[in-house]
Amino acid sequence: MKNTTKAVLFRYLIALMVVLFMTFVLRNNLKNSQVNVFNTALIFFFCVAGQYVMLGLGGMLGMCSITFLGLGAFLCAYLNTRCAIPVIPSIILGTVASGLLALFLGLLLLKLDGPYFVFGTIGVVYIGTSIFQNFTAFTGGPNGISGIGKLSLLGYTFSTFKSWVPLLGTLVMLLLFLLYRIKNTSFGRGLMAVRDDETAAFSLGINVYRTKVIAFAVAGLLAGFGGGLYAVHNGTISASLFTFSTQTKFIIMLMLGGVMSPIGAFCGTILVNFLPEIARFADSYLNLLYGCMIIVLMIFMPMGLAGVQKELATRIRTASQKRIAAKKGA
Amino acid sequence: MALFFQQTLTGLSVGLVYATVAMGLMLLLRAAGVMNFAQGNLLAMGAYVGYALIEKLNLSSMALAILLSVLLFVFVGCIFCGVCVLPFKRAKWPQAMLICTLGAGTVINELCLLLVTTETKALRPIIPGALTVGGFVIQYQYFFIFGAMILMMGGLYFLFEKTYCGCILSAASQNKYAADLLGIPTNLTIVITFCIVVCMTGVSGWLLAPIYYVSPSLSTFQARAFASIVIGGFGNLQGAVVGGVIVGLVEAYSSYFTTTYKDVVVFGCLLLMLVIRPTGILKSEQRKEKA
Repeated sequence: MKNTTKAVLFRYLIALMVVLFMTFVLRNNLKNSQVNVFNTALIFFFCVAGQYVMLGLGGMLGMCSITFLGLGAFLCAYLNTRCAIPVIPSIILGTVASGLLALFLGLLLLKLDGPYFVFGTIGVVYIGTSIFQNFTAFTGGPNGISGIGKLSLLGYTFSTFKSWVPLLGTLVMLLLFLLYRIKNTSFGRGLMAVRDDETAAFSLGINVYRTKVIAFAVAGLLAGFGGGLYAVHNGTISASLFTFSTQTKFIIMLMLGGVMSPIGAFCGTILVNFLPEIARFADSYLNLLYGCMIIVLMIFMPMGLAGVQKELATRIRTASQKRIAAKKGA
Repeated sequence: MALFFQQTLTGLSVGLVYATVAMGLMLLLRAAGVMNFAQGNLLAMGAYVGYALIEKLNLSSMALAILLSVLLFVFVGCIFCGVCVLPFKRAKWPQAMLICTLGAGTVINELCLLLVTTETKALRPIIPGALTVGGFVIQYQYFFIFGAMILMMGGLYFLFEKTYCGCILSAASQNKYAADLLGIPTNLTIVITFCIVVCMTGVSGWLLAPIYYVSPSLSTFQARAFASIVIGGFGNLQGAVVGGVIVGLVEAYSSYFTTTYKDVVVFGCLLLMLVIRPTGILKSEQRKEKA
């Protein structure tokens, strides 16, 4: 018992160190625009985390996280600028609305299985994009919404991108803990059972439909929260972000990092978002490079970076075990 | 009334294009088990190839241009298949193939932009001008699209129902294991299916180019093709045709009451269909679960 508390404390310590490290390194070494990219990556991780719950744990390829992100962002922006509601309540309201929409769509779409579900969610993405771009009264149409208020917490106002880093870092670390925690709850285990075999899960007394709907709603909640953060962080949003191509990018982030591991997904998110910065030399060939990279990665390591790491770890372990066995034999 | 006819005819021809793209998706899904997210990019590639051959190389004879383009499409089909399907025969995670097609779509799109043109261009129609009867105006290109799509579907039907080669193709897609036992080279059938699909999609893209311009945004046709698959009935080819035509007509008629929310109407229909009758209008073939 004491051992576990120690391990938990150790993990918290590591997370704290990572956040502090990020804060100081970024503050001193990166330009403002690069910090912006980093923060955006951290915010997108909320969406990717939702995808992880759906695809990695639940095995359902939901394509409409971007719509929940958009709803969270636009509702937060709308409430803040037009209804003069403070920032934090409007983020919460946006999150709740996204969660409710996700719950409703989940109840509707999860009666379908396999490809039908995927097509349904794709349809939702296109409807969302169309509404975000054309419903001027709510989203400001092509101009978007600007002039969203700054977040202030405990008397401290987050005015620059750099001041956001510790906050977002802490939130992401909390999210990572939450994801690992979800994996070990009865809900998470039920979800994984559903992923592996629905019939077997059903025979073991898991309510398949309800488990899936909850997973979908959780993904919607996370994405909505990310959307609210995105709106407040940037201070301005436009509808051009919330399209199907961004959604495919989320899926790629998840698959690149490793669909089964939250840390891997986190690394994938950072990597994909920083690619334009790293590969600046590629210039107009950047997207070509990106496409080729995806293909090569999927062919040679379909489980992503985390899969590679796992494989290497097992290989090293077996090698060392062999060595020990050989020593004992000798 | 003239407007109604005009909408119907444009809806029908665009719907037939959706149907062709949807049939391509369906063939790939049945033959190789891959949900091809690069189908829209292949459609756009057709338009780019047409533009490159006619406007850039100034090929005088149409026959030569068509021959060259078909060769190119077959080449692309082989490469696409080699990259996106064959390496995944033993993959544990089926979504990897899907992500791979996404990557391939990006590559195709970028190659088109880099090699052909980065600007949005208009391609000369085969016969310029429009037919005018009373208030009824319709470009000649729509008739070409209509005719070519009907021809292609007829050809596909003939191939799959009447010829030996088509029998082999459908046998391999229906039960891969049994086909292997009978000595059918299943890898080869997958490659051939890919070539056929890329040719169909590419030609449709070329024919669309004079109306919708040569631009990467042609790839949005893919989402409509997904919608038509579901509306028509998942898993059978007739369903794809019916669904495609319905989607085209719905889109055309929706311009009576809205111009900006066409997407909402079309995909709203999709969601409605999924809720009311998930099997589609023609009943879909149930894909067998893993044994």
